[in-house]
Amino acid sequence: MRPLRDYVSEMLRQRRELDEPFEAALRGTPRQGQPDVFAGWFVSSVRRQLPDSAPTPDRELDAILQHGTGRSAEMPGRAASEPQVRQDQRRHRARFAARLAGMTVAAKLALATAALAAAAAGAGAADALPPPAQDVYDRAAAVVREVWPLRQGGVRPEDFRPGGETEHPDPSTNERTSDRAVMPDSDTGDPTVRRDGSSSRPQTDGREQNDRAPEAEQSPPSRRDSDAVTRNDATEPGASPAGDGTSEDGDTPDDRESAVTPDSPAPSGDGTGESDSSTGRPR
Amino acid sequence: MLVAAQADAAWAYRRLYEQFAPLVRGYLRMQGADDPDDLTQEVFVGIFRNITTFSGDESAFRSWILTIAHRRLIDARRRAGRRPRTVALDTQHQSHGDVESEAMARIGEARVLALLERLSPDQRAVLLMRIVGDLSIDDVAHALGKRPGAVKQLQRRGLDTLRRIADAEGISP
Repeated sequence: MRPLRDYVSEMLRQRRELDEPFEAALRGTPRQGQPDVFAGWFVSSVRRQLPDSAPTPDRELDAILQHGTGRSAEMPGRAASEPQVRQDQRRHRARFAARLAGMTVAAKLALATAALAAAAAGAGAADALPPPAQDVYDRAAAVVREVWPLRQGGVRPEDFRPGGETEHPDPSTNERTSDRAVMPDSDTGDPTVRRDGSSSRPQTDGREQNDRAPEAEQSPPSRRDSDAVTRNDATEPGASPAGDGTSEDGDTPDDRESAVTPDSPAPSGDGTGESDSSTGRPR
Repeated sequence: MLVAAQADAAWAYRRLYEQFAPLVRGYLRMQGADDPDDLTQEVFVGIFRNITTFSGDESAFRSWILTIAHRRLIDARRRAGRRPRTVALDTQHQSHGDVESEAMARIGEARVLALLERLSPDQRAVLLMRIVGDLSIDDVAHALGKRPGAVKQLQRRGLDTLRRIADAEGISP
């Protein structure tokens, strides 16, 4: 029986004479002063046998190289146990990455610019920008609101918080520039003045149509209330774009939104659409 | 490129084929495949049809395609039902400028293939995957379904066999 040290010495010899020269030849870094000639020769000889070109594709492979495999949406090559959602997500990510890879530099720059603009707009809408940038955003948003054809300074149901308060109840501290553009008198800090220009007090400067019932201050409308106001407004000739009396039940969200404009009474808490008598509108 | 190929982009398929088909073709030729070109195309059709199942970088992809090529080779041999046969190639001897290299140059490339043919199939697969595919011990073990220690032992025995043959035939440095 051979002693253990014979096995160890044999293993070390093989490592020294076989493994290490072979690994060095694979790396292309033959060791100096070592008998690596055979390993280096063998590795280089085998690598010289590698062809330089791919074989000419046959019909089936050529069709794939020209048009792809045409995999279906189910992608049958996937593992059956993988959830379909993850498959779809991976496929969408892969397609998006492939499209990005195929874009020109100019297209990538344009896409990046658009993404940055969208991110900045979203952050601005959430009041999450730094103060100077937020101010710039507010000014730009005010301009957009003034020229936007679907909402000309009116109040929308989503401008009200679920708790019943307006989004910026104190104009002197948190009023947006766009609010000023719609409601110049809001700078007075009158707590009865809404951010959209409506007031519980009678106005005499031509903005009477913005007035609304005082009860709206204590009891802001729910979504149903807003709808009720919209329906009531729609019965008024010329009160809103939806005021042709035809949108009682079939008004679209845009119709509802545009119906609640400074030209229409503001939502009231009881949903009756009553307004102040100074506006001359029916209660 | 791999991501684009997984999204079924034809241009990515073409680039992958141009980049990796020579490697697969060379591996199959030195493994003694009867028709390495046809088998190479068969391998790539299978790769492209199932490329969505692959995940990893280029090194992993190299290991993956050699694994598929090796399995297709075994299937082809089973179908053919005969022993692997190495195809002799026309080779050119080149002087490398030193005595040892000149001595090695006496052996043609066909002789290299003849040497490979005298190895066991596993030893030959291990050495070729390491040399041609540039795979690590672990990658080869994964491709062949063996343990890394077994692969290391196959590599060692294969090299020892080659060296003894070269010594016996007077071509050892």
